[in-house]
Amino acid sequence: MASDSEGKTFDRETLLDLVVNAIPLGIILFFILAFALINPFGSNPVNTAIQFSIMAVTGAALLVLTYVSGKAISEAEDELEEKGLELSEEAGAGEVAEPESEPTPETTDGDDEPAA
Amino acid sequence: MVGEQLALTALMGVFLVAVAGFLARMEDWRSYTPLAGGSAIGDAGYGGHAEKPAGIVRWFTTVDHKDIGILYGIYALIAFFWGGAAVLLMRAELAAPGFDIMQAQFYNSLLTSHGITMLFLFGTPIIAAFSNYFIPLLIGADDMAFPRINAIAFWLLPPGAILIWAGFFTAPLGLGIDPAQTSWTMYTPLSAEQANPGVDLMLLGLHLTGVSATMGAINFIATIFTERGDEVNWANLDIFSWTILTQSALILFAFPLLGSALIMLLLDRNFSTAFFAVEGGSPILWQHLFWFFGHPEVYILVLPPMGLVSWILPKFSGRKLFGFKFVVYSTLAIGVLSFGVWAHHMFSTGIDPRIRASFMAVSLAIAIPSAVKTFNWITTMWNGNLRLTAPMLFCIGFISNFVIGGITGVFLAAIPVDLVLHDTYYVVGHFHYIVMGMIAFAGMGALYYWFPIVTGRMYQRRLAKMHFWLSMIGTNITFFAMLVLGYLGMPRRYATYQFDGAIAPLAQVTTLHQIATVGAFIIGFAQLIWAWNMVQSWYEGPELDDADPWNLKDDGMFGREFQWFETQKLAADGGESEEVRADGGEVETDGGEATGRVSSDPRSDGGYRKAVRRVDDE
Amino acid sequence: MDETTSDDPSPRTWDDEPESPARTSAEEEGPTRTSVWPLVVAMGLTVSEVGVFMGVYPLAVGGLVLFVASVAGITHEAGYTGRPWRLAGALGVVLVAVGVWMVSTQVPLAVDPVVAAVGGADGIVLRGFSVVGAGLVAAVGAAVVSAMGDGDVDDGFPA
Ligand code: HEM
Ligand SMILES: [Cu+2]
Repeated sequence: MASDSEGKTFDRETLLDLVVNAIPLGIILFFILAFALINPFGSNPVNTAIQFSIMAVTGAALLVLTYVSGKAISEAEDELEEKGLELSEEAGAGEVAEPESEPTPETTDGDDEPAA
Repeated sequence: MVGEQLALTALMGVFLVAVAGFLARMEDWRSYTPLAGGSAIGDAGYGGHAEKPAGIVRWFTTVDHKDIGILYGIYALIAFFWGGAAVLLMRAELAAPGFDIMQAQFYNSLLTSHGITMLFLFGTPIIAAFSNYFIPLLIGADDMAFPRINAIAFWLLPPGAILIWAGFFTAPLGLGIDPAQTSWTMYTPLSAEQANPGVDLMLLGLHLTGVSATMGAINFIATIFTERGDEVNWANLDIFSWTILTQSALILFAFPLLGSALIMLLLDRNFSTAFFAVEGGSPILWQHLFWFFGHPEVYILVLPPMGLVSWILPKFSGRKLFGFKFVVYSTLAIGVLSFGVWAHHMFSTGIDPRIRASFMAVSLAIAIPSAVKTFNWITTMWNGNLRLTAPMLFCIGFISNFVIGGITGVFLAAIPVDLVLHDTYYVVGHFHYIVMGMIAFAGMGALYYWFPIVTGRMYQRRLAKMHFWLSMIGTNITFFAMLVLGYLGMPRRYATYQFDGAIAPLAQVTTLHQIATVGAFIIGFAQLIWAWNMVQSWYEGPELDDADPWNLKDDGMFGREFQWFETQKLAADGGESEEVRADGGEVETDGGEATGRVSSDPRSDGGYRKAVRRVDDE
Repeated sequence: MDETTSDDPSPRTWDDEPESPARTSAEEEGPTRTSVWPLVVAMGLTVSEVGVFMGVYPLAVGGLVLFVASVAGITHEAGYTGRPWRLAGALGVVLVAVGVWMVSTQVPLAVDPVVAAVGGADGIVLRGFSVVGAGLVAAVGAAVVSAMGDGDVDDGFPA
């Protein structure tokens, strides 16, 4: 997990992960454009405003939440890395009985198969 | 009238005195009961805490998240059987076209009770059962952030259920309080105009369950944010906790709105306000408010089961969840988007076509994160080392049912398709593939998966597999028949279907209804097997001899909850006598303190924490 | 991480050291494991909701009193207040205010119209009065009890 570029908020891996939410966002954008171009029902100030704000507000909310959570997760990853801890959901597996033993070897962060 | 009030006052007085007496007794017990042997249920239960009061009192006073989890579970299952009984009666009625075994009023009452019971009294609580018991273990917390609020949230549910079901109990008494016939959506003006006080009681009960859900959600958000162990942060928080966190956020935004809408409806009914009257706020206002709550509610119900499957499926596939973070982000995406789709339930109400189109757009967008999860589950299993245990079978059945349930949902989200299929059995088939095929299946899978932790014993595997196969077959027979019925135009929510054979295919419809009825009874029979298995295994199942009943260590998949279980077991085995094991206490929770033994260990109070802490101390 | 649980100074009530009955100090507390209050709070809320909404006045009064008392009790037990009776009294006063407000939504707050409304069995006015009544019971009861006892933290509440 190369968090080389301190300047950027997200490294490449994280961006790849976030792509998953870009797709619904893309669909919403597509419909915004489509409805702007093709308008069989005519325009009406109130209803058109509602029409576009439903899509825009939901899309914006999705964008914000994705950004915030992506940031929180990638910061948390760096933190774990500094502490030399595992990123797996099972962190600590196999260590309970004998706290001395080394971590299990598998330990990927569970997202290491980015769209192969 | 006056006499009645006096009698009630006297009764209320007696009740208050009884409560005071109860409290006083508890004070006594607090001072004089140093030990307790556990209770009938507690004996077998892993959750048994020797230092708790004995017998039934323990269950009334506990604030331990594990006990509360068990209470939620038992409650949910009782509701499941109530809702199941209601629907079997309905299916029996629908086996033939006419009124054969009941009248329309009773059918409507059953329909209403079935829907509300399954969604609010079974679905939400069974999820709370797992989250209460396991979230603190999974994140390395001692307990929930607010244990008492947790207990209040649970104790609001039984009165809620009694109120929701009240009409069924009072109808035979001839008081004029009958069961509500509003359907679970409680559409106005129907629900505003039914004079029956049973409707008011049901609305009040629903309000209480909403308060309960909200309290629980606040508690989970606080717990996941503030009580995580040292080694757990956002990067390695488990998937089930992620889904519960998202669910709690949805509850926080959706349920207070339902509560307000219910109060407005109550005011309309009793104090002649006009929120939902045709000449007032309009009945469509109810639909907007209801579905602004209602669509998030369906995701409130389905996200945690998705989390359960994402957690359990990898354990029996021998590999990690494929694209873990895809699943996390798409969970969050579903959470947000689910607030922008509500009017897809109202396409045929004549709302503005431009607005309708927007809701279609967002509804289509929400299908993506749902599909992403499906692909992740399938890829997790792909080339994996699959072990078809009962929990795994339920997870696979879950995915299979989601494919059908999800795709039918996408069809319904397309306006032209929905205008044809709205209010037919197609919709009923769609959401039952999801609520029965996914939510109930994931719940069953998780019950089997964690049965060893909760009881210290193993269930009977043969029975569990029979339970799965019968449920899977029954579910698909019943609900596929409903999809076809929908295509044939069979409208939903009717007790009869005596069409004119010239305009509708009566023979086919009858056959399909009979198929659905057979399927429903297969499902019902499967649940009886399951109930027998649970009860018998709880008392007599083979005790575990180690903390890894699923051999998860072999694959490096020994999750935090089982790690916790192991520390409990080790601690207990280390210092415990035969007697304690017989007590079900081989997994004594107090970090190795003997049952009822006066300990000289200075650490005795910290023992419990210590045991949990070791999981994340490392 | 255990801030929340350990700032929770409620007694370990099932304490297995016989010489230390309930109500010891908070220092070495583990997580709370039992409390009698949640059940009572839930019952209080239920009974008062049904009582007030359905207009069953005895239930309304009794339920609200129970609710107020149990909220005071649970807040005390959780260590958020040292003086439960005072809290109960305050909540009683709040109820009186709410009840008066309910009445005032229907009739002007003067003797004649109020009497007329009660005589005419106006549902909302009567409900308002049941809330006022519950508030009075709670406030007066709290005052009496705390005058009788020393109102000290260590007074077992409510026994
Ligand atoms: C893939 C995403 C989904 C889409 C696009 C979708 C779409 C729809 C649509 C358009 C309807 C309205 C049909 C009508 O009344 O004409 C509907 C009904 C319903 N859906 Fe879904 N759905 C999806 C997933 C879910 C999930 C996950 C659940 C449950 C957990 C669910 C539960 C329901 C329920 C309960 C109804 C019926 C409500 C009623 O009683 O009228 N759906 N769905
Ligand atoms: Cu929906």
